[in-house]
Amino acid sequence: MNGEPIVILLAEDDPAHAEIVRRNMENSRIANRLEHVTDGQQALDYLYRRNGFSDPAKSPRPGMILLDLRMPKVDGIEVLTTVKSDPELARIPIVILTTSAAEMDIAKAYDHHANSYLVKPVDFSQFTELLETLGYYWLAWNQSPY
Amino acid sequence: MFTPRHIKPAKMNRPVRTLSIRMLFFCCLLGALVQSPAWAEAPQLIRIGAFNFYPGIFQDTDGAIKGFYVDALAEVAKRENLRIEYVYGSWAEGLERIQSGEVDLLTSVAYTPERARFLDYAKTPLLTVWGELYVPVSSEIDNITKMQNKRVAVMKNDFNGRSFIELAKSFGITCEYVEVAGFEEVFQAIADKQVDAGVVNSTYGVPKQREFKLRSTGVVFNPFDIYFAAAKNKNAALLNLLDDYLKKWRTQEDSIYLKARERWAHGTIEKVQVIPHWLLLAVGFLGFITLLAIAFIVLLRRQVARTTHAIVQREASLRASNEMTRLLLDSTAEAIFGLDLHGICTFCNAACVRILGYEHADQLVGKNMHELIHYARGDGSPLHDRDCVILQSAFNAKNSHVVDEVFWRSDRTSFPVEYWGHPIRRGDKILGTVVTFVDITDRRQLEESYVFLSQSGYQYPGENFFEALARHIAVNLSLDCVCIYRLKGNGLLANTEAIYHDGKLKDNIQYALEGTPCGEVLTQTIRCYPQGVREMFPQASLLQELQAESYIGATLWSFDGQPIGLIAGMSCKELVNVQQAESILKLVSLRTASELERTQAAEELLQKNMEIERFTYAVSHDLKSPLITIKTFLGYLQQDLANANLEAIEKDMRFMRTATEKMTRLLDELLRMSRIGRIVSAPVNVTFTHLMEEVLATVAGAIQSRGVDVQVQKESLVLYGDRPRLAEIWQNLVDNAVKYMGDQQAPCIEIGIHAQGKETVFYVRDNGMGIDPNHSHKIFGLFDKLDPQTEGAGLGLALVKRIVELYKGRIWVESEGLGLGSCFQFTLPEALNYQGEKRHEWRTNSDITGRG
Repeated sequence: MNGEPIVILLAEDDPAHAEIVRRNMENSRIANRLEHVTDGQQALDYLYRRNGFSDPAKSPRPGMILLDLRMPKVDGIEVLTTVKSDPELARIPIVILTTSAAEMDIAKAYDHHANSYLVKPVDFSQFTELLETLGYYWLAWNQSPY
Repeated sequence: MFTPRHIKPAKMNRPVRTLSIRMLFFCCLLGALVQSPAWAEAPQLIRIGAFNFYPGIFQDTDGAIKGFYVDALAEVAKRENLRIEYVYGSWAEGLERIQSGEVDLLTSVAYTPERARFLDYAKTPLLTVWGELYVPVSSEIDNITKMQNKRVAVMKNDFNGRSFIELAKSFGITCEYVEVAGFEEVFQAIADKQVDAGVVNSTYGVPKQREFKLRSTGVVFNPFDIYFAAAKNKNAALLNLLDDYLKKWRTQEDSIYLKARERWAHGTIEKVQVIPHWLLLAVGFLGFITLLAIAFIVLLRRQVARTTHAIVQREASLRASNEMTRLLLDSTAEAIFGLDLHGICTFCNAACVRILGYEHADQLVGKNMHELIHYARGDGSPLHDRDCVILQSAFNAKNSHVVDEVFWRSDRTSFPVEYWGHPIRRGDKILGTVVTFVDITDRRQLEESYVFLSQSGYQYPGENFFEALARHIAVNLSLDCVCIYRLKGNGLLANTEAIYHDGKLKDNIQYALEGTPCGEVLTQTIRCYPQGVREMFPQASLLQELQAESYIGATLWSFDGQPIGLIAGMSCKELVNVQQAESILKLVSLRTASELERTQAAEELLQKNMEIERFTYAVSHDLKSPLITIKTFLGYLQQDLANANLEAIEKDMRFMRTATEKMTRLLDELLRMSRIGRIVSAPVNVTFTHLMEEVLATVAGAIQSRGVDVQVQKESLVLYGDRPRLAEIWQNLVDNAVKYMGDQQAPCIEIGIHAQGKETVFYVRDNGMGIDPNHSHKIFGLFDKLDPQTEGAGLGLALVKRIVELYKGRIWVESEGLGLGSCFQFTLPEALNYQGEKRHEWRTNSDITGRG
């Protein structure tokens, strides 16, 4: 672990849910930088520094991706597949954060080497707890490759 | 075939021949007796001086004396028992001989006073003659005046010659006279051109002129009578006798004298036989006996012929009956053979010989049939004669009927057979058995196809129905390749469901049907090209590749009578049993068509299920998502209220409001979606223009607020269908276009119709944001939105797609890319199908005929 806290890329089409994640990180005092994109296309553009994401200072390489599955244009699974099949990006841990608890989605995500799969709980306290635990686990305990 | 002469003639004729030989012998004996001269008296000799006085008397080339005097004298001699001897010489010699007593009688003597001194004449003249002057045919002489200084031949001492000389003198004509011995010499001298003319009497000249190529000059003279004459006072009795006969014969019409004269005077040189009386009697008797014998023979022959005819007829009818039986046996399609009690073939018909692969019945007759054709079962295991049902049926005198055995051909191949054995009885006695059989290979093939169909092809594990069927047909009909096609789109393309080639299943392909026999098949139920198909369809690549010689194809019809696929079979050899192949294809095609429809329906069902699954998944996600938002922000709201953080409270409330609005919209759209295909208004006719007016009225608010210029093509096309549902298509598309107009300064929407091939295509074009071609396939999906910021739950285009599909149409979008606008195009075939009142008539008719 080096000194720089890793950047978290949040790919989430629902602005409300993005707000929840952002607010929860704030509340948990997680100081990591959060970059938010609203669809899969933007996520890929960000990762490959295209279409307005070319500035490395504005769009630093993420040390972790929080990825929603159901997104417009390019869905989460496609982003996951692209990232995991690119040796340059494959090591970035990808945590799926989605409303879907469908077995098919879970299986597909792991088939494409998702590092974790989390279902957004409907309950407020559960959701905040999940996000807190997520932060501790991935940012405090987990060894990032970067 | 037969003719009477084939019927033993020698045997039949033997009694007849024996009889005729006996009769002939008898007649000969009788003839010999009659000829015997035992009772005849010695005849008196008469010597007659003969000279050449044709045709009365003359010496023929054979030296015999002939002529009608001779015939008449012979008759007299026969009747009077005289013997005549002729002494031949010239006329002058004859006169000398009568005077010297060397002869008794002269013929043809004209009366002159000086002859009367030493001759006695008969009273009745022999005939009247005259002199005539003859010349060559080519001579110019035609009357006596032309005779001056001519050379004329005359017979020495002839009365006629002398008369001509007198005649010429009286005309003052002088001629040079050449004397010859007789009339013949006279004619010969004329013919030899030694003289210019000659004198003969009429009796000689008329019959002889042609022989010497002479003609009469017409100069005739000195008619006179000639008589028999004898030496003075020596033969008065003979002259009187001759006188009597002459008198009688000259007046009697058919007398021997007149007949002989007639015959000789016409120049015929037939011999006149003077037949002895006894010979006539004998010949008459013999003739009678012969007639009797002939009559007997004729009667006998007739009797024999009649009997023979009856026998021949009986034989012929027997032969005909045999022939008919043979014909009947040979004309049956079923093979028939007979066995004696030892199992030896006694007869067999043509079908039997043919089906068993032999050339002639002799190859079977006399052979043990069980050992020849029935020695093993279908699997090759031996079949002992003690287990042979055919032999048992003969021994037990019972009928038998077997359908599950095989017979073996001469080439040691077998074929499935159905046979019946029936004992042959004469009274109580069993003579053998007659076996009738048919080759049931064709029936077996059909049965196998039935079994195949009833088991739905499950006998080949790991293969689907089409693969199993392709294999089954190829194996059963000995085809090199069998393909089962499913037609696509306009029917010009097909996807294979199975290809069985060279004993293996191959990967499926897409195939263009134009210019192939498959394309031809589609117009009819079944089509067969038993030979030369490769040359007929040079464009059909598959046929060329396979080197196919024959082709058979069957169209697969859908339940509503549309061609949906086909089965095609190809072979490198000529297709022999076309009928059988057609039967099997017809048989399997019904089931195959329904299987095509079934798999098609299953595929569609699967699609629908997946759509429902996707729907459920999407709905659960899209409903859960705002719910999470609401519940979470409720939690935050609680915290923020406790902290009295007004700004945060405001924010929380806004998130929650947005989420509830999202849920409301979603539920609204779901409701609209569920209406499609469920709530149906009565179909009506509506013009395109009217419909567009209605559509624009509903979306007028959105258009106005965005300031969009909408252009609608004027079109009188009539649509027929559920009017509000049809309107919804354009409402959603216009709504969508307005929504995704982006920051276009001069927003514009064009609505219209254009023809694309045979299809009528509707379009809604805008100059808005456009669609990234990479994502265009997603836009018709449920809850798929390309821009999360826009309003709507992402159901609008999914809804349009469902309505379009309800009218059997399709929808697609064309866009050059982001910022370049987009053009939604769709077809509505079902809404264009029926228009005006005609539709109702059609429906009524079809209801009556039961097609509806």
